[in-house]
Order: sequence, then structure tokens, then C-alpha cells
Amino acid sequence: MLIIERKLLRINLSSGNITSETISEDLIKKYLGGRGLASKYLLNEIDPKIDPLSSQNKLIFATGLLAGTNAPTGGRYMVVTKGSLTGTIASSNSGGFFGAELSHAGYMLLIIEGKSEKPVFISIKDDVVKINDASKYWGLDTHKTTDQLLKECNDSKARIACIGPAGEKLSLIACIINDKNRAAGRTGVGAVMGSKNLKAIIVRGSEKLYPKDPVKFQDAVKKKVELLKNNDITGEGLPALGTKILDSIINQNGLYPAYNFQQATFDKILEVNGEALVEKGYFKKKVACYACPIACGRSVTLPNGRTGEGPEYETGWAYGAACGVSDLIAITEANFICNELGLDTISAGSTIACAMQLYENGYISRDELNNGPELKFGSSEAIVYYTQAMGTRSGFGDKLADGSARLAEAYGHPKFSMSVKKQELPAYDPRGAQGHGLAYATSNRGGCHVRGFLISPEILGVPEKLDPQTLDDKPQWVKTFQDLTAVIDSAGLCLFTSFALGADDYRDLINCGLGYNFTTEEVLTIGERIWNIERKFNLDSGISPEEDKLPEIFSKPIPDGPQKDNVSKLEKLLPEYYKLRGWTEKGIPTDEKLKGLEIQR
Amino acid sequence: MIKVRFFTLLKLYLGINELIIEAKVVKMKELIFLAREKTEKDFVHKLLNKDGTLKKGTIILINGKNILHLDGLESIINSGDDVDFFPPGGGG
Repeated sequence: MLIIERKLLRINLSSGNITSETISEDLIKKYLGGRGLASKYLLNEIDPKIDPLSSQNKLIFATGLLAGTNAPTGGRYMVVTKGSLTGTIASSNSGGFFGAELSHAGYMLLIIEGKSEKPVFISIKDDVVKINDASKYWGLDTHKTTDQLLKECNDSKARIACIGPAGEKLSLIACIINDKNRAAGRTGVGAVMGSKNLKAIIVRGSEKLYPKDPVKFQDAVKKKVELLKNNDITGEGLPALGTKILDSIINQNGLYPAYNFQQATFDKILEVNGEALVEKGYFKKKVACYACPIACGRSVTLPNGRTGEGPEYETGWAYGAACGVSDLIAITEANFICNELGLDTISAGSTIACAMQLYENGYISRDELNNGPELKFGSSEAIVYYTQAMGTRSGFGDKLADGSARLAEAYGHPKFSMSVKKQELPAYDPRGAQGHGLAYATSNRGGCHVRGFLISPEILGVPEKLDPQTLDDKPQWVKTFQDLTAVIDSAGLCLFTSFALGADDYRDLINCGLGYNFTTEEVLTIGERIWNIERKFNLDSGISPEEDKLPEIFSKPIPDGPQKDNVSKLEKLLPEYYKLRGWTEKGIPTDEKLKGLEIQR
Repeated sequence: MIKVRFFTLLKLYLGINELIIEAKVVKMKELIFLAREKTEKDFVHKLLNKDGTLKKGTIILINGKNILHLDGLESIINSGDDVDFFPPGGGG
């Protein structure tokens, strides 16, 4: 099967109807696959104003254009829906093997509609698709669900994406877990799946997938794999230390947020950084996703014998520095619990950090904690206990389960939520990298680092080093990064490849896959089209451009470290960014811009 | 006295966190080799290309400031300064 011949599988959980549809080549040419194509379908098929947890919302599992081929890292999939945490368009990206398997079953898109009356799971074995009773799995964690479902289906090579108790209980920071330890983590996609009473999807595929130009494709794949293997970051740094290679880098550069962003360096960094994970002996081996030559995943065993994957950089930070915790065992344990209960680690850790600040300021009382440990910064007991409580909505965990924005609002102090569009920010203080701050504020899915990872040029010096405090060139860099990232996501490749590959490399792979001759500029225009369609969805859903902002703390000077006294200069960057995007001064895409990008409902 | 700290791959590779260089004023390109004299293993190739230029992605900080925004390998380090060495790294 050619990769562009993969179908759209549509499953309505209300009616039980299952159909498959052809996807037009014209749409693939305009949106590639994955995030882009699914966003186009979502905008066409739902009213953006609906309640994300209503049966009118649709949940799309989208494999990338190159998913299931041997393109390096070509196994990623995205969950696109209206996000329950943010109300924005959600596009949560995950690795592992589930996406490639769905692709091998012959599907580029899986659109789930309606709502089942009872818990169900979907089984897909090529063109045999069924909706099955999942009553006995409801309430189980993601690991038990995966193990038992594989056993019941009697196919150890099948791949599973599922929700845990957090998604079942509609926690707005619930994620979808596939292959036990990989997560479509952000924007609350797990709650959308839970709202449909859909516990899991098990998939097995046997199709061989071919690009349009297989000879040129294999040549291009070989060259890109070489580039990745010979690159210092993707060939050495990431394999050796995983994403936690960043801990020391970001801390020493003075933008590693600690104590719920009250500081920009963490005094106990040496206890919890990536080096410590290796030196303390917890790190056991590297883990690679489908067709990945990098292998940044970490298999870890704690002294008590508990084994799992993680913590990644963001998770280690959210449960570590953000909560003031320097206990690597507790941080890793909290990570394991998140994977099992199906919680997004960034939002979960950051929500506890927010609760700690509310507690230490006296806004949350001791009595409310129902005999749970005190929510004090530095408490390893608290991060483990409240993660468990959050994922099961038990006791005070019920108040934490919907994220920091709603928590802080409920206590009358919204400023303690370090979020944009209600989604918790990742592990970089935006005052320490002005372009990255602009990327946070304008991210189409709320606070996020992987919509435009400006940390790469501003701090890491890749593809070139920019001064993190200069402003003039940043709006253009942010726009280019956002557009290129949309292309990488839609192609189904991992963003980490971009440490070694450039826009021309992605163009090569896409051209061989599709049998076209796009210029690099045309490929970036596809990214721009995707960015604008996501923006349109958000505006149509009622999210104002005034939400393109950062928490108020970032207008105050950084109190410590090498970036002391820096403040966010977002207000100086936004007008130029809107102008470069071809939007009005108020941040709205003009009719001319949408027409030029051929965007219409 | 200048404190040189090793992070990420360098820390694991050399097995040390930091060392002290007894110098009052020195350029970065000299400091790297002064530090090299004090380590068991050669680490210079982890930071510099064969022609002596900085590798893409190498991060060297003087008191938290990247030398690429100072004078590069010509940057001056004074006694009391802290210097951090990182081979290229990325993630997220």
C-alpha cells in the first residue's frame, strides 16, 4: 500500500457505525497527515464552541505522513481534538509503536465520534474493526489494562493506547498512554477519551507501506540517518543522558524555574539532574521508539526494585525544581504513578507546585488536606501522595485534578498558576529567553515548549546561537520554528530530529514520500497553513487573542542567577509577530491571509 | 583563582565536577588547555573542532554568560570567575 492510500477509519460510539473513507490526495498535499490533516478535519466537522467533554467532540488519532515507513523516528502519532484543559485545539504527540502499527493497519486517521453508553475498547486488525465491552478494564491503570488486553486478544505484538483512572474520572490533565510509557500528554486529551467511555484502542496491522518514490526515499533515509548519528546532540548527548541532559544546561544559563517559578535556578540541581540519574545507578538502559536511531528514552530501576521509564527533562523538573524537591527517587516514583494513572506529568507536577505556593501563603488550609501530608515546597511525600490522589480524584486530589489554573482561580489567586490558556508552562523561565516567551504566549494549544522550541537557538546554539535577550529577530524565528514544527509533526517525525536536520531534509523525505517536488518554501507554507487553521479553530471557539499572554510574574524581574533582573518583553514582540503572520493588529488572520493559504471550512 | 565546572557528558566522562585554575587573567582559549593539563583524559575534542573553533552547540559560560555573546574563545576570564563547560546538548 502506498502511504497516501491509507484510509480514514470513522467509528461512531453512539450508533456503533464503523466506516472507512478515502482521503483525497489534494488534502494530503495541503496538510501532509498527522497534526495538519487532523486539524483540517476537526475544523470541518465540529463546532469549535462545543463543550470538549460533550458527545459532539471528536477524538482523532492521526498518524503522520511517513508513519510506518523507515524514515528516522517515523512512528509518531497525534491526538487531535478540542482539548478539555484549554478549550483550544489539542494536538498531543506521542512516540512508541502505536502510531506505526495504526499506519500498518492501513489508516492515516481514526476519527472517533459520539459517546458509548458503557465502557468499550476498540480493536483494529487491519480491516476487521470492532467495538468491544470494556467493563472489566474500567478502573484499571494503564499498565494492567495493557497487559490484560494483550492477553485477552491473544496477540503479544498488538499495540495499545489507553486511558487510566485519571481519564475515566475526567481529570482535565489526563493523558492517553500508549505502549505503557509513552504519552499523548498535553491539553487533557485523556478526559476527552474518558468522556466517550472509550478505555482503549488495540491495533495490529500487516500492511507494508511504500513511499511514492521508493528508491529516492531509501537514499534520503540513509543520508538523514547518517546526519542524526553523526550529530553531537542526536548521536551522542541524547542517547547518553536522554532529555535530562538539559537540566544543568538550563539551570546554569539561569532559566530553570524553581519553587513554582519564584526562582530561576535550583539550588539542589546536582541531586536531580541527568548526570545524577546515571551516577546514582537508577538509569539502566536506553529505550528507542519505532525507527528511531536516537533512543532518548530511559529505562530506570529504583532501589526498591520498581522499574519504569523516565523521568524525562520536563517531568523531572515539574516534580523536582518546580516543587522544590531534590529526592530523585520520589520524582521518579511520581513519574511512574502519572504513567500508570494516565496524568500529564508537566501539568500534574506544576499543579502541585501551585498548590504548594497556595498552601505556604495560607490560602489552602491544613484541614482541607484530609490528613494528607503538608503541601510544603521540598516535600517528597507530598508529590507522591498527591499525584496518586489527583489521578484517582480522591480527597484533596479532586481539587488538583483539573490543573493549576482552575485550582488557583478557585482559591482567588490565579497569579499562582504558571499557565498560558490554562495549560501549565514547561521548564524554561520565559524571562531568560525572549523568543521562547513569545512562543509560549502564541502556542495554539496553550503553554507549551514544542510548538516553537526557541530554546534551541537562544540557549543551545542550534542551528545558530542567538542572544536570548535580543528582540529584533525573534518574531521571525518564532514564526519559522512554529511553521516548521507543524510540518515535522504532520510528517510523523520526532521534533528531536531537528537538532540535526533542517527544513531541506524534511522537504526531501516528504517529496520522496509523496512523489512531489515541493520547494522548501512550499513545505514551510504547509506549516503556515496548519498554524493558521489551528488559530482559526481557537478564535472560532471563542478564545480571544488577548489570551496571547504570560502569567504576571514574568513582568517582574528574575530575582536570582545569571539572568537576574531580566523581565519578559512580550508586549514588544507581539505586534511584529502578528504582522509577520499576516494577521490584524489584534491577532486575527485576515481573509486575505486565509484565502492565500486556501483555508476554508 | 578560577573555578572550572564540568557538566553533562563531560562530567560523566571525566568523573569530576570541577577543578581550580590558579590564574589571575586568562583568555578562554588558554583556559581550556590549562584545564586539560589537570584532567586525566583529554576532553578538548568534546568542545572544539580540530581547527580549534567551537563546535556547533558547545556551551561555555563565564558566570552564566555564553562566551558567544562575549568575545568567543578570546573572552577574558578573571580570578574569581566561574566557568562552565558543556558539550553540545539538546532535548525538551
